[in-house]
Amino acid sequence: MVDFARVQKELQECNRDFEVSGIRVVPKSEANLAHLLGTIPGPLGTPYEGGTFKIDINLTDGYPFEPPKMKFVTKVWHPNISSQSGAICLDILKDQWSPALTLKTALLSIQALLSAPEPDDPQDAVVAQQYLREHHTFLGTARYWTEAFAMTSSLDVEEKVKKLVEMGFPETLVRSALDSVGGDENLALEKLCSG
Amino acid sequence: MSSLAAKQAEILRQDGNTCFKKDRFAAAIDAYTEAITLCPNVPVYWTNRALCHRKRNDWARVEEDCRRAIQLDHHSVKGHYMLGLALLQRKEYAEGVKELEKALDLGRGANPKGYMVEEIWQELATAKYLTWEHESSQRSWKLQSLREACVAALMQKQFLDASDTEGFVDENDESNLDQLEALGRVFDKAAEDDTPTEVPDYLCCKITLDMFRDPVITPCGITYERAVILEHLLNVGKFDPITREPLYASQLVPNLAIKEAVRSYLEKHGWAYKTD
Repeated sequence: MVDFARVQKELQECNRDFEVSGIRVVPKSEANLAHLLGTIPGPLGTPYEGGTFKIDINLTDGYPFEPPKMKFVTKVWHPNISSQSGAICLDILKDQWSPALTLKTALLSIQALLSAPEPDDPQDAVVAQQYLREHHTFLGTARYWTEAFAMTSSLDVEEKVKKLVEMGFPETLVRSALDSVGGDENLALEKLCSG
Repeated sequence: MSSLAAKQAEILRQDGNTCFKKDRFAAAIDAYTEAITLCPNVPVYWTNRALCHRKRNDWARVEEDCRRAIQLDHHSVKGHYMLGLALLQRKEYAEGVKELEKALDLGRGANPKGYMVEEIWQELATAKYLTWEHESSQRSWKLQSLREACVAALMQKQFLDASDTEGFVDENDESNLDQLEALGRVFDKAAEDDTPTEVPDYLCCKITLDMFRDPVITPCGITYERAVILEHLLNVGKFDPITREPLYASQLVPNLAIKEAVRSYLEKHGWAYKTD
């Protein structure tokens, strides 16, 4: 059994200092705390700056004695993250997990990984090669991917709102639903339908 | 006691257990009663019968059987536990809580990770929370009427003072307001302990994120909830979850100071017993 009392406390604690950390974790649906969506801001001074990265979080029955399963939903160009699947190569999500870590500290570690790639232990060999051999090209691609996939301009948000309102949902609900799932249109729709 | 009677009583106990599992409590009670008649000095027969009475909400009999079980075995976890529940039913809160606390201590000694420990804790926490709710609403009612009386008295005094010293009206107004505000702060402060907030981090386990119940300290000086750190050592690895230094179950030592700190915090802040 997942320790849901702990997960509940983690969510409260994490969202309380959202202002400082910029890190958010929300359940994908109110009914199930084992499936969550995390968001982290791209670290300043990196090609990921200005982007907001969504991370899919799955808690197995053993949590917190087993690491949470995390992968990027937002496409990202980084040696330790698969450009195809979003899989993350990070020791604390594997054999270096400790139950004293939390979803928030795990997301902070991922954020740190964005700042400090480890090309010698790559998840995506192509990206790692580029990082080592053509660093300039790497920076350009990473930046381009950030701008293309991790930045939802306000125009995008308005378009999503319009689309959902056209489906017959009240605008205020649409906006709060979009906000609570970090702007993901499909998740917002799921949320609106479920309740 | 002849060994034949003992054997027969054992068979009756098993019959009782079978009936109990099928929710046939009357039949189970009959079987345990026969076992008790044959061997009245076996505490388990009494606690098993008490459990049947509990299922039927026959609390007077639960109490009776548990008291007999405890007479025979002072360390009977189930005896103390169900006696506690029976006393709570009779609204004997203080005595009931005492019995549950005893059951909890005994249960932890026997098996810190056992289901009984969790169940007893839940019952104890609920009882404590209800007690707090009851007492705190009385306290806040008294405090509120005292507050109103004090405000009225202060305003009357200010009025009398003002009629004595005509002239410095503005200055008086200001200090009068200050006094009223200060009085309000005094009463807010007095109500603070009864206002639910966050339990301080140093009283919470870094793994459960909940208040300590049975805290143990590692050689690194970090305190964890006993049942949880044992599970970590079993399933994750033999290391301290925070420092990652090697750690073995035999190195864990009860942290009595923190346990005492939790106890005294809970005594003052009964709302913290709230379980979700």
